[in-house]
Amino acid sequence: MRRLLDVLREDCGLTAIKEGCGEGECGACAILIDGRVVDSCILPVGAAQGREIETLESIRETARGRLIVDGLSRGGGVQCGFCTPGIAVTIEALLRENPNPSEYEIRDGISGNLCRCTGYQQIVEGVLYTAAETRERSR
Amino acid sequence: MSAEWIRPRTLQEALAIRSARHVRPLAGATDLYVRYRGIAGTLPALSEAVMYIGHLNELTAISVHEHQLRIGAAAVYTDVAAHPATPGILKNAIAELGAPALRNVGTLGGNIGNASPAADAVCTLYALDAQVELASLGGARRVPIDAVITGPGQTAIAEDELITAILVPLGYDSFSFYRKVGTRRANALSKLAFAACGEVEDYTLGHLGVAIAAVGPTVIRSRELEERMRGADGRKIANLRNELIAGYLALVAPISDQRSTAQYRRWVTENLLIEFLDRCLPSNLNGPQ
Ligand SMILES: Cc1cc2nc3c(=O)[nH]c(=O)nc-3n(C[C@H](O)[C@H](O)[C@H](O)COP(=O)(O)OP(=O)(O)OC[C@H]3O[C@@H](n4cnc5c(N)ncnc54)[C@H](O)[C@@H]3O)c2cc1C
Ligand code: FES
Ligand code: FES
Repeated sequence: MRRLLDVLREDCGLTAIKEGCGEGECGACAILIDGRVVDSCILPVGAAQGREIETLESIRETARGRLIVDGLSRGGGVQCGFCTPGIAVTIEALLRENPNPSEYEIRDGISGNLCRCTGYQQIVEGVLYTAAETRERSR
Repeated sequence: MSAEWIRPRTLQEALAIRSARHVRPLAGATDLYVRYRGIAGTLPALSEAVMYIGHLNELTAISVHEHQLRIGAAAVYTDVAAHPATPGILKNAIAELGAPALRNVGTLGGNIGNASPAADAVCTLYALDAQVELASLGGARRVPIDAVITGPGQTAIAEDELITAILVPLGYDSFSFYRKVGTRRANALSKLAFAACGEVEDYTLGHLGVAIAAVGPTVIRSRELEERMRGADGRKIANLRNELIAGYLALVAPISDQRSTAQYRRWVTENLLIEFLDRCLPSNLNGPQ
């Protein structure tokens, strides 16, 4: 059975997600299934049958999705950008469940995402910005 | 070659398929799809027929029956940790198991089926005296967790059986102690895990379970050493301490592998035993000093 990652990238042309490690360690291939973050590189496509899949392509069109991208890019949370799609999707899952995460909860939320460039601090600050801004705008 | 993919509609159908032919059950795939992965973009090198069971409601339900928590074998970690009746020590172990993306698909059934000596959810199931329900078309049997896992990668699950549930007795964890030692907090298999829980009554130790993972071919638990601690108060534990540490160190047989060395594992085991016996137990047996 093919991996969901290959079906999304090759058959559906959804190339925002990346293959980093291919073994569930780095989160570059993260997507949402029924609203929960999952690594598509180790998921057989059959396990997603009948379930709702969201990738960065749809998330970035939403109001919060734009704020996530904004939060990551303004403070240096994106350098080479390889990890960014997976991180943005993971942040979306985190903020849906917890619109006001602490720094610890953010670090725990993105603990399955490896970034070799930023050192994470800028990413954490980006999420704090996005969360605050989202709450501000929804008032 | 692409392996056949079978999607039964019910547990009954899954068991019928299991009794008729050889199929490999698959729940979260987080072990199987990593073990058999090929190079990027290629199919996993799995040649057996795979039977997906992650969608079967009978296997994903979590419920409480009297003093027992029944966790469906294919319930994902995230749901197990979120259930109000789940013992704290199991929640702690799950919080340190992988990252959210892993906990959203990985299952206890898969952790048991994989039978890794380093499996840390399984380690807490040993300490909690969990039983495993194994079912076939002929009916179901309940087997203590330590009798299901027989060696590294080896289980007593018959070819026609599936793990259907994990049964955890409730109320045996008035105190608990869980430590996982790994390289990266998320997504790292343990170099070692240590799980202990039990009950204190009238300043003495009642029921107790102590389990250590990744220091032998299976998780280590000694009923004999636990029996010696049972009924002990703080003073007795202090007197027994050296014997207990020596007793446990005689049981561990760690190996060196890519994650750690045997010597390191032995040191960490000793240090965790010291922390458990000198700090955790006294603070629970003597009350706040
Ligand atoms: C990045 C990463 C990090 C990890 N971190 C940890 C960790 O910290 N601690 C840890 O213990 N493990 C860890 N693992 C290993 C793995 O995620 C766990 O063992 C998980 O519980 C496996 O569950 P699964 O449903 O994905 O198993 P699967 O891959 O679906 O199955 C594993 C095995 O169990 C069998 N099986 C599954 N369900 C049943 C059933 N109901 N009846 C009979 N047989 C069955 C399968 O046939 C297979 O042999 C990690 C894996 C990855 C990729
Ligand atoms: S590519 Fe999927 S987790 Fe690394
Ligand atoms: S920005 Fe380069 S890996 Fe994260």
